[in-house]
Amino acid sequence: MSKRDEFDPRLKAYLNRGACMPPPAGMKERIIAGADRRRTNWLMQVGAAAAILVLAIGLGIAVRQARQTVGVGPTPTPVETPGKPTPSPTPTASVGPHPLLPPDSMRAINATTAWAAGSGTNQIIRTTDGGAHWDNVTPTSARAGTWITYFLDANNAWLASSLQPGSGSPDFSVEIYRTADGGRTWQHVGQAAADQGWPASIDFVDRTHGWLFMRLGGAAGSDGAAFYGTVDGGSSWSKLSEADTSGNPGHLPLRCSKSAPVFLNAATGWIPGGCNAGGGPFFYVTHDGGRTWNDTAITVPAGFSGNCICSIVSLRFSDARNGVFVLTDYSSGKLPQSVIYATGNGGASWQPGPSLPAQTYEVFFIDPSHGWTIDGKASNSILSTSDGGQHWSTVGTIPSTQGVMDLQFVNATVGWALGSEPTGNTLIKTSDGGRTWTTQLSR
Amino acid sequence: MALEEPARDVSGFEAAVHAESGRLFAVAYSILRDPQEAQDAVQETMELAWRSWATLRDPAKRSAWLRQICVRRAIRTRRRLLPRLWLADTSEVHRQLPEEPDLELDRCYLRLSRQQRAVVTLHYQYGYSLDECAALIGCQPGTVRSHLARALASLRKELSYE
Repeated sequence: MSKRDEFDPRLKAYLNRGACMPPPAGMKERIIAGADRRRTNWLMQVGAAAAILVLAIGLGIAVRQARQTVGVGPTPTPVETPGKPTPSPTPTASVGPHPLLPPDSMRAINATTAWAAGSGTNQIIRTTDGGAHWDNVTPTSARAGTWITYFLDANNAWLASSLQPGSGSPDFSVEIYRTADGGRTWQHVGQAAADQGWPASIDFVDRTHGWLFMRLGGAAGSDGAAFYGTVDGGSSWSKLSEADTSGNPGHLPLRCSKSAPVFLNAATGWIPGGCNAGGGPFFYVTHDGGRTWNDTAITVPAGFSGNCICSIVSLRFSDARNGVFVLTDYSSGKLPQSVIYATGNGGASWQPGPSLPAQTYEVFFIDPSHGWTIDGKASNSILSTSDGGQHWSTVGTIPSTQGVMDLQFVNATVGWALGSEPTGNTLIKTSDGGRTWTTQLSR
Repeated sequence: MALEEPARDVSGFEAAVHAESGRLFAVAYSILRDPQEAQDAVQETMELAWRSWATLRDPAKRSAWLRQICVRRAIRTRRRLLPRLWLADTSEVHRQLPEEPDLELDRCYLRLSRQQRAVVTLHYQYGYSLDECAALIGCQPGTVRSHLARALASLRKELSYE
């Protein structure tokens, strides 16, 4: 074993010792005692809370009346369901559970329709008026657990529910639910009979062809994953492939970190990612719907080492032929360097293009020319390009104190961002290409 | 009726403390490498849980919620100038310290930022993907990748693996 190979097991052993650290004796009792202490004052707290609530309600009414008077849209807007059926559970407007897996997600369909979901809250919301109002379209009877969603268009969406990870249950099955009417009704359509892991993403390219990407756990330098597929809209699922260490052609390797796959059509999709220990970028492609996977030999840009510590992110197609991803090299010992790759032939070939500005890592392009990126170090300032990334200019700042989790545009002017605050994630919208942003939903 | 509510919550809260606090301490300690600060992070997490207990209706989701809060507390909490009076005294905490045979790695690990330590431990020890780490920590996936790459590069360099 070379000296380099010794690093990962050494780090793993060190981390394992830390995770096995027992809590100090009496910690649980002290925590409970602390709660007991607060309980003695709970009546006073309830009184104070009631007073604050009364004030808040009064203030809310006043603000609402003022908005109606001057015709200003609600900002921020609580989840509302005006005149439409509201599946329970009714969303809570106060502090509530925060999501763990997956990250809060959103999908902007067009200038008026968007979806958002949070796993920990098990809540799905949808707007059809550009975000002025959001309807709670959470399925009432779906199994609680880790929820993964995919929103194909304004009406069709899927939900995968798993008890994993973290429940301790031996049940690894993934229940699949579907709506075809914008979330008004959901049907339990099928089950993926997984025997390990948990769903990381569910993806559909049309109303029938979809994939379930399961994570099987990771370790230093490896990342287990399995694919399940459906060709009937989610009613039946079959296991297509699983990462292994065989090294056989067509097999997905266990090594390297894998991000959620991106499918262009029913046959072709990619898994982006990165390899530890200078293993270069990870970019595998399937042309048979996820059954076999092969390495896409990415030519790294001039100045990048072939065995760089690199990863691929922001893979997205703006249409059937044009797509981009970002390759970032972290191995220079300086600031990470990112390069935009583009394809104009449906992913048959990828060409390295311009570099991203320093401190920017991800992009969102609506066509080969127009895209946006975020400078996370400069108060989430947003930069735009109209020439495929050759030139970038700062257009505004996204109001999010803990970074931006996601950014999507539906045209040159309208876009949404998923912000992060200490109290939870926020939905933020722009209608002028990123110059100004309005927080629509916050906890 | 309102007076009965806290009694039912207390029972559930105490059960959650017994079930979760050990696991939360392990996560917090993995990031902070300081038993007192790890205990503070767990304490603050459970304080927040207690305040929000009425909204944490589904027990199946509590552990996930608690872990995210604990990770964020561990990353962002400032070292206290004055310890909590009702928390463990320092001598008791230090009696719990296990052996750390890899002191060289420990020194290098402690030079990493808390965010870097969180990414390294969540990714390598707990198996979270980098996107999931971003959700736990509350930052951009790109930032997480940067943290991990810098952390690994720093460790390898200081430990002469480069």
